[in-house]
Order: sequence, then C-alpha cells, then structure tokens
Amino acid sequence: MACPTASIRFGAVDALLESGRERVALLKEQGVPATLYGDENLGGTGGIDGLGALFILNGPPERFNLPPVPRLPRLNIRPGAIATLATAAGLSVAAIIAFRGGE
Amino acid sequence: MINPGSEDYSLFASARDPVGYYGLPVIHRPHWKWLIICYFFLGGVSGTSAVLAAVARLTKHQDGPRIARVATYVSMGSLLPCPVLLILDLGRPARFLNMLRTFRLSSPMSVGSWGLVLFSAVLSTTTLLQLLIDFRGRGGDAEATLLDLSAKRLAPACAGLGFLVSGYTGVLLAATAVPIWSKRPWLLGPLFLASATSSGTAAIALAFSLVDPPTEAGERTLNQFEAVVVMAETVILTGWIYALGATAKPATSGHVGAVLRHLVVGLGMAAPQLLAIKAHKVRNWQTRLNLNRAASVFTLFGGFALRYAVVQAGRDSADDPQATFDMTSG
Repeated sequence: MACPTASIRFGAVDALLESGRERVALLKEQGVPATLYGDENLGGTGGIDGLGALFILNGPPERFNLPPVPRLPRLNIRPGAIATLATAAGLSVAAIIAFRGGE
Repeated sequence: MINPGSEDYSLFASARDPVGYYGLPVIHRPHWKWLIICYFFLGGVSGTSAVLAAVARLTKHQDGPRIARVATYVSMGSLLPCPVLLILDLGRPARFLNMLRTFRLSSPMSVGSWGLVLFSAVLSTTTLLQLLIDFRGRGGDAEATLLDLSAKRLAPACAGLGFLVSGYTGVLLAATAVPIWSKRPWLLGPLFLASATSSGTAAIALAFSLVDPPTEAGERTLNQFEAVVVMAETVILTGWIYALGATAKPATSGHVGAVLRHLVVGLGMAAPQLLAIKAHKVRNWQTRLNLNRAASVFTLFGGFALRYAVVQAGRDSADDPQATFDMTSG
C-alpha cells in the first residue's frame, strides 16, 4: 500500500502531536476506530517518552505489527545486573567454603 | 499466513487476520550464531576459572597453589580465542577498537568490551607471574615470595573482572527486545553465571586430573564444588523456564527443546550428578578419577549446549509476533 500524496507530514514533534490528536478526535466522530501511535500512551511507553514519528492507525497497533506498550530494553539492566551480582556473591561464598574444606 | 495479494483490503485493518500483520515478525531476529555461542562459552569458562584461581590462591587449601596454577592456565587458554571470535563477528579488527571509544554503564556491550580488555590485561599479568613462579620453582627465596605475593595482590581484581566477563553476557541478552531473553532478566543473568561457573570448574577439574598429577584433596574440592554449582544451575534453569510461561516455548519445543532436554539437562546436569554420587562411593582411586573426568566432560558439553539453546531460542522467539505482543500488551 502506498501513502497518498501529502499524507506524511513533517514538523516539530509537539505540533505534530497536537494535530494528530485533533485528527484522531475528528475521525472518531466520523465512526472510525482511530488511534494515535507514538505518544506516551501508545507506542512511546515504558521509558521511551514518545516517538519521533507518529502514526494515525485505523485499528489496534497489532494489526500493523506495532507493539502497543513497548518498554525500553535497557530498563532490564538493573534487575539483571543486581541478580547476577548476587549470584556472583553466592558462588564466591560457596567456592571459599569448598576451598576452606581442604585446609 | 494470508497472502497479501489475494486479500481484499477492507477499510478497517481489524477485519483481517486475528493477530499481527500476516504473521510477520515484529522485531528483527538477532544475527548471532556459532561465533557468539562459542564466545559466550569460552568467555564464561575463562572468567570463572580466573575466579577459582583467585580463590585457590587466597585460601590456605593444601592444593591451593597447584589448583591456582592449572586454573590460571585454563583461564588464559580459553580467553585467547575470545577477541578473535568477537572480531570475526564484527567483520574487521578496527570495529573492536570502536567499541572502546566510549564507555556507557547503560550498555552491557560497552561495559563488557571494557571488562574484557581490562580482564585480559590483569589475567595476562597473572599468567606471566604464574609462568615465572613455575620456571623458578616454589623455593623459599625472596624473589619467589615476591612473585607469589604479586599474584596474590592481583587475585581480587582478576576475580572481579572474571565475574564481569562471564556474567555480563546474560545481562546483555536480557537487555534486548527478544521476548524469551528479556522477560525474566533477573534469572537469565544468574543462569549464565552459574552455567559459566560449572563449565569453568569442570574445565579446571579435568585439567587438574590430566595435567597435574591429581591429589585427593584438590580432586575432591573441585568435584564437590562442581556438583554444587551444577545443582544451583539446575534450579535456576528450571525456575527460568517456569517463570517464562508461554514465552519459553522456543526453548522447550522442537529442535532446541530436544537440545535443552537431552544435552543440557540430561547430559550436562543429571549425568554429572549421578556420576559424582557414584564416584563418591567408589574406593578405587583410578576409577573415581575416571568417573569424575567423565562428569566434567559432560558438564562442559552441557554448558556449551545451554549457550546454544538460549541463543537459538532467542532467534525463534524474535520470529514469533505473538511472543512480542504478549510482552508489549501493557
């Protein structure tokens, strides 16, 4: 599917966000199940704080293969690192106990 | 999958197939294959061997110096191919230097690259000291004492960086968008570290029993510790699969599932435990040694198979749009 001429707009993200919301409100009035993808509620979630490119979708994001509520992968570093450090500490203690047994 | 050309495009996309866009993957699959699987395995062995070398050096175990010697060489030997594997994966050597132009705590790959470089430096120095100790003999003269003391001073840094090199890989996989890797980050990191430790211990135990004429105390300590770590690894792996729920499917079904069940759990976890129990009961020294050697070989196989299964499951998990939507439906 190609986009119709002038259907892609460029500009400041704040202005685009505002015009996108207006457009979605208008479409909803006309009975189209429109959603704005890429703001902090949909698509730009989980630490992403909104996308630089916004989309008006006429259905749920999954239909367009877009994740509805994504999350920044790097938010996993902290829990992963803490658990791994704790494991390292546990293994060190186990190793020291094992080697103490041979004194 | 529906063929896009054959479908009538209705106004509302929701009128089409139930989930996703013609079943196409939502995210790109990771390109990692054998080079990275081998790196994960060898880096893990190298890092944890350095940790055990440090523990053997600093505790007063009667076979401590001999275990430390074997562990240092095992660690250095398994570290040598690591930069080669990474550079082959990157394409050309200059790209590895690019990894070192910045340092970011928020990027496991950056932390890992720096960790690997620092670890190489500290481990190479330790290996050099070890070589000097070995060639000079462990006599009581001042120079031998100084060499020994220097190696001991380096041991804590070597252990810390060793843990970093063998543990960061699990955190790195967890900090991606691949569902099976990122769903339970607090279990994947520990799983990789425990598996690296069991592989490292097995490698040292095997080398100790083959190279150094093994003695009872050292042999027992290494094999007992190996059995404990394999047990911990089994618990973490079970917990990880259980906590993943439906997301675990790429790791439990099909070809990867068979690898996980037979090679990782059966050969790499159950068999070494059974052999260790058997070895514990056997009186004959040579038989016991052979049983423990077999246990170590199986543990090493299992450790490698686990890296393969986790990486391959990640590729399959990334290809499954439903898995990604399960993670991102809020």
